[in-house]
Amino acid sequence: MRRFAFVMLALASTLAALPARAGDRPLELLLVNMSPRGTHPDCMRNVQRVFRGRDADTNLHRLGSDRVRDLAGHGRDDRNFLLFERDELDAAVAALRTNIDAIALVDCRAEEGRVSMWISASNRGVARIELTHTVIDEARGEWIGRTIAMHAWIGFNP
Amino acid sequence: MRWWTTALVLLVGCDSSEARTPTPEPEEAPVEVIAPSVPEEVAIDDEARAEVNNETHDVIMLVLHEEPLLRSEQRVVSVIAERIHMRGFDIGLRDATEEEAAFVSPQLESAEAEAGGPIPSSLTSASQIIVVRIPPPRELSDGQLAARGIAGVLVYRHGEQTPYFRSIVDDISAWRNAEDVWSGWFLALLRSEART
Repeated sequence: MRRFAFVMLALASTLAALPARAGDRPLELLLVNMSPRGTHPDCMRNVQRVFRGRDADTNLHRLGSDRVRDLAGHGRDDRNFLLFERDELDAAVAALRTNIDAIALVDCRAEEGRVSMWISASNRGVARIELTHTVIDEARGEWIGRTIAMHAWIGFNP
Repeated sequence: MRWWTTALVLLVGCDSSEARTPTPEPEEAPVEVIAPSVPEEVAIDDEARAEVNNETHDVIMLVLHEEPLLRSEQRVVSVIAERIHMRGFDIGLRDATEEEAAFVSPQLESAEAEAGGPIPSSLTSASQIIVVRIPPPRELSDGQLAARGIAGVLVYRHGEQTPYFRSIVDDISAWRNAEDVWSGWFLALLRSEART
């Protein structure tokens, strides 16, 4: 397992060292912490850990929940955002999409054992994902990050 | 003249009616039509079905679909099940019964939905239940069918009425035949649950 990890690391560093071709660019990913008033920083930190060291392929942009909740017409509404109308979320996400390929909204509520995600992939396909009655620990945070990374790339070109 | 020019000339110059004249059969053998007979024992009776539904597995994967699955859709679900099996999980793959479909369907629609009734007894024989919904295929202008892939997923723990994992994919064209993505997801979930 350790050898496999080493080979993957070596491969990743080799690829990172390759000169970029004209027109090539990393994925621009906007990660929004949808927890009201930026609560649950630990969970989001674990999510972001997945993107650390992946600067060569992903540019991570971050945003707090207030802007998105305002754009969706729910400025003072602290509920799980997956309960908002789909059209409202579509409008909010469309307004944020300037120079952004993929958007992930994440509401991590560790004390309720719940994570809600809305991932709008590069081809605009949307996945709504919800985990409930589950322990939100470090490993789960990384799982969320990997899930976002996996979906954000769908349809990305170049 | 190059060889391919010669071939082209030969093809164009060839009298097509002559070329298509069928070679007469050496003998006009009577064609025997054998009607496929369906033996009675092939029909699955309720008892046999119940037996299959009550088989014990680590994981049961139920497929929810309104129309018969296309081959490509069958392939996606069987590849997912196979990959889960290859990673050491005993998995049973089958269509959802009407009772099971009624139980899970509301929770594929809304985040706040309650289960549609008590847990069917057929779902109590596994430690985890994966439900996969496959919507009817799209009909293209030329009459061909296009699979739309997996549109919704629920994962239940043993004996629980609400799923701990729910995924609804809105624009499903992107997720068609994405068996790698789905099997990766399921394995990560199953493993993390097995650890706890």
